[in-house]
Amino acid sequence: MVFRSGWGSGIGMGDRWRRAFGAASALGVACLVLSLFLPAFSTPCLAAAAAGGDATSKIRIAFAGDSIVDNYWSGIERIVDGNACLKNTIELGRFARNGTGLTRGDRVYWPREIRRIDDVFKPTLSVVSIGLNDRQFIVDGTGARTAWGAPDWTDKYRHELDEFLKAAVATKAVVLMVGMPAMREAIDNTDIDGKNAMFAAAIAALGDPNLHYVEPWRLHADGAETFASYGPDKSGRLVQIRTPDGQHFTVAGEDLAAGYLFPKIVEALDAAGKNLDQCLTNLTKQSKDEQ
Amino acid sequence: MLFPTIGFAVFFAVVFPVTWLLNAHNTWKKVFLVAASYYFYAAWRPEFTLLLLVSSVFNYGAAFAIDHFKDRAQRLTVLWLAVAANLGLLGYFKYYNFFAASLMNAFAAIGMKVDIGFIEVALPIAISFLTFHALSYIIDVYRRVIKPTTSLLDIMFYIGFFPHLIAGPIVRANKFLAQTIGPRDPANIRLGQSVFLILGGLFKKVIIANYLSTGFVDGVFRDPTANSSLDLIFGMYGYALEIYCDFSAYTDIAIGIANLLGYEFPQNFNYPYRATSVQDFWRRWHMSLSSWLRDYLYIPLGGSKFGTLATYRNIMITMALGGLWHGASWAFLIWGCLHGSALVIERMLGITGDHADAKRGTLATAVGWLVTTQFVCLAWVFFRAPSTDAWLGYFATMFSGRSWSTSVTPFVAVIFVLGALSHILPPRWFETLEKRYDEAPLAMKVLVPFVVIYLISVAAPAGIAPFIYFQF
Repeated sequence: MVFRSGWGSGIGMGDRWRRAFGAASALGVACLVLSLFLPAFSTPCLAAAAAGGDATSKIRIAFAGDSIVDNYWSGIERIVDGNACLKNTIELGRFARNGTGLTRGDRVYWPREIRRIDDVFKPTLSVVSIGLNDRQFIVDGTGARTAWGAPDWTDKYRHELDEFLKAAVATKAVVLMVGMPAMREAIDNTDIDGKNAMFAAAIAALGDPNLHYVEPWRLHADGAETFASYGPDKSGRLVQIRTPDGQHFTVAGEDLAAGYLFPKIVEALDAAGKNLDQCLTNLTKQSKDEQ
Repeated sequence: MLFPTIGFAVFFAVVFPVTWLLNAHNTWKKVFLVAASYYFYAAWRPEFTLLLLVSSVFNYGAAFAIDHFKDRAQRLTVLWLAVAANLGLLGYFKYYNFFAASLMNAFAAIGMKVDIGFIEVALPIAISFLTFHALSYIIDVYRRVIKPTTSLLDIMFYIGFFPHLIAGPIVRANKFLAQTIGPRDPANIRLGQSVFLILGGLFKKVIIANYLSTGFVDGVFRDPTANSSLDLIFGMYGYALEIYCDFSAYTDIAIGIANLLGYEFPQNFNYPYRATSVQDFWRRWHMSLSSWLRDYLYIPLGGSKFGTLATYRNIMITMALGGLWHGASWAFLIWGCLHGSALVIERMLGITGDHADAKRGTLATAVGWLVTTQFVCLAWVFFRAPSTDAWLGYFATMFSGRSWSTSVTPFVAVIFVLGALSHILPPRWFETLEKRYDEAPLAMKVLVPFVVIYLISVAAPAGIAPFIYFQF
């Protein structure tokens, strides 16, 4: 479409000012009304579609949580796709909800969402990563608000976490809660360190044999972990492994994180009586070597 | 703050009426719009508003320095210093790590371990667009296309104006600054056209681009070797439609919003997949960037003035740098070089100039369209594939003819058709709709955007993916 000179607004009112204010009010009213009502109309993601597939006896692994878990799903999917045996044995379900967390129950209430995922996908194991977007006020499942920075914020968050973990273990799936990796910003890292410690403590306190905390992926095996946007890929070549936002993984980074995570999944499945040895002639050994 | 969000709707619902209320007080209106633009930018990272401010102040001063000297050599020296400062900032944020990694890998390949180190700073959003706007201003002052403005506010407004700030279109300084002089004429608001640009943009982004991306294209590009040849072919075309619907949506919305505020931006897309040559494609795709590269890079390099070989060299340099402008990766460089090579080959074959189609017969034009479209879509694979391994795997699998099954669902097929319609429907249909809207009563004018936005929001997938061009 090309703007043509001399094409007036043609609102059909009197003078220019009336036309301008007519336009202003039209757009203003539309925008304001929409801003009030749109959240109520927003359609939830039909993630279940991604989880479709047959109802056979495949091992089902659900990836649930915020956008970081999508990186894990993506990396693990490449591992599974690259192995015909794994592809026939494992079905992956992608249930990431970007921009969500344990704080905003008004958007996605994760204790309810994890039960919904269980209903539609019946996972054998769930990989969960959450907390990336949780430096904000809390709206719980009843709609009650707790301001960010309020004295009871941490207690309230721990409560939301406990509710989520209880809902997760109630599904009877094995649950791996993966800690958040190092981020670029110091303020994020301080937050993440606290949350990872809280996740580990809450899981230990629940003491459910099906619920495990998995330490986050680290670029360097030893020493203090710091964020690095570039790092060596599987071949040792320096490539970009984290996205410019300083939080997520690039494809090369996804492969590194998945190489770390996959043996944990295999181990947890093995403990739950789902052995993948027939598919893992070299894969597990290779992943372990990489670690 | 993304355009298709509630946050932006509220922001614009405030900015729009206040802008027109202040219209008679032009300085205050510009102060308000600069403040609103800085607020818009601060929604990502408040500290980077300092970058906007520093860039504005620096280029404001640089323009005066360039204008101060009468001697051409002195003017050129100051211009080069200013250009180097602007590009230095861009290079630091955007390209340092890429070149450091490339250098270290090169040394490693010959058995030498060299540690240059990386910098871990956030890439300021839209820094490429911001830099090109600033360069447009100082180069136009050097060329005496415009006089340096005495108003720092005008420069802050030009560089920071929120509709074009994040992903263009790239507005020329001389065109924009002329619009900042006095109050804007409300009669110049093309309400129907602006509203349909915004609504059409929302539809293209929220429905077509988002569903194509999440429903098919992302999956295909995530692991190309796991897909059938047919799916990779569909993935290639799907991405071509996705990037068009995504990027043209942003600039359509930006143009519409700017016009509602009384300012005109240049057209940025003109049915690019109707192009019958690669040169024609670049006259239809991201037109504000391609004309910027022509005027500020290709022509200063000598353009086509110094013989055939020099022309080819200048085309290759321009397109290679144009590719690299999109991001710090070899894939973007390859993509730019591919387009440069195609432009050179077209020149060799004499397929060039405004009247190339007129000189060719219908069949030759049709063949031109077919070849151009296939070339452009194939080249997009380099643009989209995240790594060398990925595009190698993509092409190897696609051309292997390994399998001709497809995972395209009926829903995705419908989205494909909708995307294709964006190029098939005649422009006059849209113009008729816009005219009807302009002639409609006020209640209808309110109702139409409301209903369309509501329908889009109901049909939209959860969450809005950032616009592809945000990263540039």
